[in-house]
Amino acid sequence: MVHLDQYIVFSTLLFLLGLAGFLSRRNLFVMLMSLEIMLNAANVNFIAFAKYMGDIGGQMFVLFIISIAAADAAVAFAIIISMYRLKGTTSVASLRTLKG
Amino acid sequence: MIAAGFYALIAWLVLSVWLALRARSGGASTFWSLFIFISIALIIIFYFWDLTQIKSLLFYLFSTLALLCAFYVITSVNPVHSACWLVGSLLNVAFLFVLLEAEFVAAVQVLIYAGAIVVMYLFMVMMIDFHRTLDLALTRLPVPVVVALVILLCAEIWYLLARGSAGFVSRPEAQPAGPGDVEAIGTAMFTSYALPFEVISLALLAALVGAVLIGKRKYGEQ
Repeated sequence: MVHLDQYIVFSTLLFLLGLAGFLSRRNLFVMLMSLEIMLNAANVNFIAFAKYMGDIGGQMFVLFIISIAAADAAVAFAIIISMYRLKGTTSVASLRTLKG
Repeated sequence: MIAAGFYALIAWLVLSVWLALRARSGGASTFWSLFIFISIALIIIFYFWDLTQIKSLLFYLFSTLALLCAFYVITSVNPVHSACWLVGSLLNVAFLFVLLEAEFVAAVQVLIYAGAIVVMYLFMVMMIDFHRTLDLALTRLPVPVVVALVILLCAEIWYLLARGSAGFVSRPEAQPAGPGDVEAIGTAMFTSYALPFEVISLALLAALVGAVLIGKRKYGEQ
């Protein structure tokens, strides 16, 4: 029998993997994918609580999270395209104009 | 005993994948190790035909595979490889959703997350010239700092869980013998959650307009 704590531990580990990838990679594509991994981990947490509390609200919120993640992925890709047209690269190290 | 054999199989799979990627011998050895691993896993599953044990075994299987795929997402040099590993991670999480009796959300995840967002990502990769965008050497935060941060957060979550789940009331396995998942979601979506549903459609419209506007070329530009 799988306890709720095991799902919490798994979602935490998945979230931390996404966080590690987001903080340590310089390529914008991999940063976006780490962001998707983090959102996915939160989804797992929501669904696990929805199952173990008997509340359907967790699954509703997961549907909203998935749609908002799709929306923000679309906008992020548009930003990447325009940044690539401006800078010629998709490395985050090229965004230094605000650095003091 | 099962857990030890399981972790030994996982270690063998990781080792063979690592060796295959290192020797650049192509996907053949990786494929064979995956095939053998899955067949042995299926044999173990059919041998222990007891529902609670099967659920526990499947939970460990899919969660470990999802973590492995996520690890390869963040440590692949080529972003296209990262996209493939991301699809694997999303599929394994969808299997976990099916284990948690949320079949509709699993289907939505496969369709939209793995089927639309990653495909959109691959379109981007096609449009952008790749040879100038591989970052090989340097990272933003140094890797030891990231590893230390991850270990610190793991310790925090471990402490919170070891103190006991005293904040919420959780039933071990709430068995909804009533409606299926699609019916429950449909009933809730159009009665209690109708307002967020409409707001989400507005948010998607805003994102659509914003993405088209930001990605448009200016008039007169080549």
